[in-house]
Amino acid sequence: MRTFVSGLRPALIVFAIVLYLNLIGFPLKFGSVAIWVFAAVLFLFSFVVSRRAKGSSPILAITRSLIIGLLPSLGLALLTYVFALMQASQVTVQAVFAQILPPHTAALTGLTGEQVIAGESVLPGLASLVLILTSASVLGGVVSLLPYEKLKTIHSEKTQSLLSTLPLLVPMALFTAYLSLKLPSVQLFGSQENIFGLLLLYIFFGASLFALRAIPQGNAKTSFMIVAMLATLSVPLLNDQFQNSVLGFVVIFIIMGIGLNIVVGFAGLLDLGYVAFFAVGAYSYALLSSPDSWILQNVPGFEGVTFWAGLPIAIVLGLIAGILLGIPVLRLRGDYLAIVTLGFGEIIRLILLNLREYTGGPGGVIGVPPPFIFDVSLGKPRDILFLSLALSAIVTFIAVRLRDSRIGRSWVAMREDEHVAQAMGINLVSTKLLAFAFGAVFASLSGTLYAVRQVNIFPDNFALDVSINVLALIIIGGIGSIEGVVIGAIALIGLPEVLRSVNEYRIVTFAALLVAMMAIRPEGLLPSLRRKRELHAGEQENIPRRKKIAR
Amino acid sequence: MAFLNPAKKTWGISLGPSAYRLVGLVILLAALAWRVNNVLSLQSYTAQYWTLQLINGLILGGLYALVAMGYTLVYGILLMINFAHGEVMMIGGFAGYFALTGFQTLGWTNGTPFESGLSVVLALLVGMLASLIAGIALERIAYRPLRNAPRLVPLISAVGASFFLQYTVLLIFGVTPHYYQKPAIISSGLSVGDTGVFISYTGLFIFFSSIFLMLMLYLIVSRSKMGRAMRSVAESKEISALMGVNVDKVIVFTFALGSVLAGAAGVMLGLHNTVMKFNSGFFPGIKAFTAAVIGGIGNLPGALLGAFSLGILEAVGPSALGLPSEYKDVIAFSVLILVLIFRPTGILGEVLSEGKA
Repeated sequence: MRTFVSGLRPALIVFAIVLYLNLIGFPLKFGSVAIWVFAAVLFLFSFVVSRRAKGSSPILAITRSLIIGLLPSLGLALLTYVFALMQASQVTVQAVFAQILPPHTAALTGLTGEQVIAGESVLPGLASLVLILTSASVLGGVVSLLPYEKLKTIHSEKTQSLLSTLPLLVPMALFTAYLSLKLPSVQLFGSQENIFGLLLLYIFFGASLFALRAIPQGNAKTSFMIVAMLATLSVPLLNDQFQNSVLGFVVIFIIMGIGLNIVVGFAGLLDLGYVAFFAVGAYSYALLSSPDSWILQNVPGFEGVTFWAGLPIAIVLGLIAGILLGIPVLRLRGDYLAIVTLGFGEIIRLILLNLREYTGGPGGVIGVPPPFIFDVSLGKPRDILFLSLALSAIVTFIAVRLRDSRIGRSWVAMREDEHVAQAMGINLVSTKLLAFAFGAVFASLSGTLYAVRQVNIFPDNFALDVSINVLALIIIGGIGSIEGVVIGAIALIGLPEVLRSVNEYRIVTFAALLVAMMAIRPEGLLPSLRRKRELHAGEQENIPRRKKIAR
Repeated sequence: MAFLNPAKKTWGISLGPSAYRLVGLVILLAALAWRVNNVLSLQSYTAQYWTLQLINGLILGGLYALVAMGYTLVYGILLMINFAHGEVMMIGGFAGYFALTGFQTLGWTNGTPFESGLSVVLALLVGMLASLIAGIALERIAYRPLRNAPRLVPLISAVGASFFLQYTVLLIFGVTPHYYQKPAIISSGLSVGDTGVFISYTGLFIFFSSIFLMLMLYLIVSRSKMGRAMRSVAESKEISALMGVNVDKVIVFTFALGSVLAGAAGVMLGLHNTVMKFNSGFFPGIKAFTAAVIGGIGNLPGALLGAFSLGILEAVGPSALGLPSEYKDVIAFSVLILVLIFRPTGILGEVLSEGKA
């Protein structure tokens, strides 16, 4: 009886997961592969539950995993049976559940859609479904009983030293793999080759950043840095157009992330309307240069500015916008600041949308010209990627120097306690305004690049979800950490672009990851060292754990 | 955090020490008055037009108020913006849609007045129930593990939860808009004499049931034992725990209260706009939060006041300023920014202590 009860809760949770995957249409999308996905979920879940409940007897553990497997799979089978009956009697289930079409039911029962509609019996298929899922769960329970403790062998000093070079070797190996994909004789993935190349590049960038964190200062680190940098610079030349275009997008978001990192990470001013400055940058260059814009059509003799003139103008306008927003909200803190900036971001978008005469309204601005160097157009994705890389290097340099400067320290002091900071002689007004100004300038810069990359820009490109994306990427990467921004941009902007084939599921997946990440690793993937210490402050000290009082 | 705690009410209007801000406010008000005067002298709207706009504003205000209550309750206790509250409302709206469609196949929505009325009330209850479940699950999964984390962490979790719920609904129920079947009893309206003012029964239903629900909320918070526990947790979690209040239970109860109101608001929103989509809750949610901040977040009468002011301003503002009606959102957010500049704690907000600001 106790086994039953202890298995009931995990069984319900795993049933909820399987039901969820079922209702969002896994079987419809992936066919009979979905069954194996469900089986993998059950296997993992029952494995984890068994490992967590240490010290229980093998019989107990296996019975528990049987319950964890049996109840959800029976539930799923019952539901599928009901759906199959309804579909056989021509009831349109998809009026409520959009994904439950006859092929969906068919995929779970090993039939075809026509057979389901014809009312062929689904029971044999369901029986095998229950069998597969239950045995997967039992298998998970059995595997969890294996003696893992014995696997831990003591490493000799030699293996230890070998292991320490691993962080350096992994990125090298990844980059070599990426290079070998480029060889004309290698035909590994067919038409998907560029996607795999991009994935390898992402992991290469991520692994390089982790390696730079892991290895101590010294010759090895310096030479690794140089090699990695050269590799990065060669990437735009090696890539095809699609890869360069995606990477260019990632780099634009890196610039924006570094800017927001100054505002939120360094100065602690939660800005939810950061997209406003992005929009200011994009629209100011677009309106000053596109032949479609109101200014060019109505100011006689004005031929539009070049990119090299437009960029400083956009930056100055961004600066002005940053200070204009900064002044009224100087006195606000925390959540009030968040909501005011959110309002500001929406106001900018709504004005762009409704000021039809001047901004083109929902039709946007069409045909933003690319930058030119002596009549050579830099409009190709490769050139834009190079340009973005160069600008992002400058921005990163500025951000690092700012972080380690007197201003950076005043930002941190202000973030921790405004009153103490003021008492220490920090001028709160100018410090806050500087943070807003730098953030706005960087966003405006990336906005200009974005306008060039997109060629046509619309107000809907500057909606609230951009702000939220940027905020999420600096938090995933590790708030206040500059390397973290790169990791975050790759994870949140780069990966979704690659995973277009499972486009429907990418937003739910990332949203769920965001929630899970906050619970498991709130300091981010590559946290700034200071922030990491803060978040785990209580854990090193040997305070006996009390029952947590909610706060 | 003053949840109706009389001792902490600060009703006086103070503009703070800065004379500059006072001058700015005067100039701003003068400019606005000049603009309104200009517009009104050019365009002659009838009294009937204004009355209709005012009625629209009141209906919208009632909707915002219901949602704003949820924001303000949660903020009062956890000091956290529950960004996914709009999605909780949307889930209630979807449940109400399915309930009403079900009643339509039963023939209730167009049946006798009793059946028709019953279908409205039941749809409302179904919506409230669905939102209740969603709200409690949200608290359990996305917020409870983060109780002791820095403030940015639950906010991000809430943002994630908001997107997760939106796109889950999109995936499960499809991208097509779901059109509400309006029950016969509230599909017509009421003409007031021969003034030409027309009030739809849907509007009346929304307005009065939102007032009723908020009255219930007021009674729960101010009279019941649980309400007292809520107010005490809002003051201090540590001390409430020491006094024998089960803080976790109170927090779940708070989420439940807010979600139930949001569910009702979702069904009403569906009846009002006649359509529900996966992102129908997001913008009204942000507006309701704006309303809660305008009124003074953490303060229930403040949320009510803020919601009705926002509703009326949105309905009346564009015509008074001579702008197209698309600018109503700009007006709403501008009002928010102005209120926070001139009175950073909201209209009825207390003076926040350092830790809470």
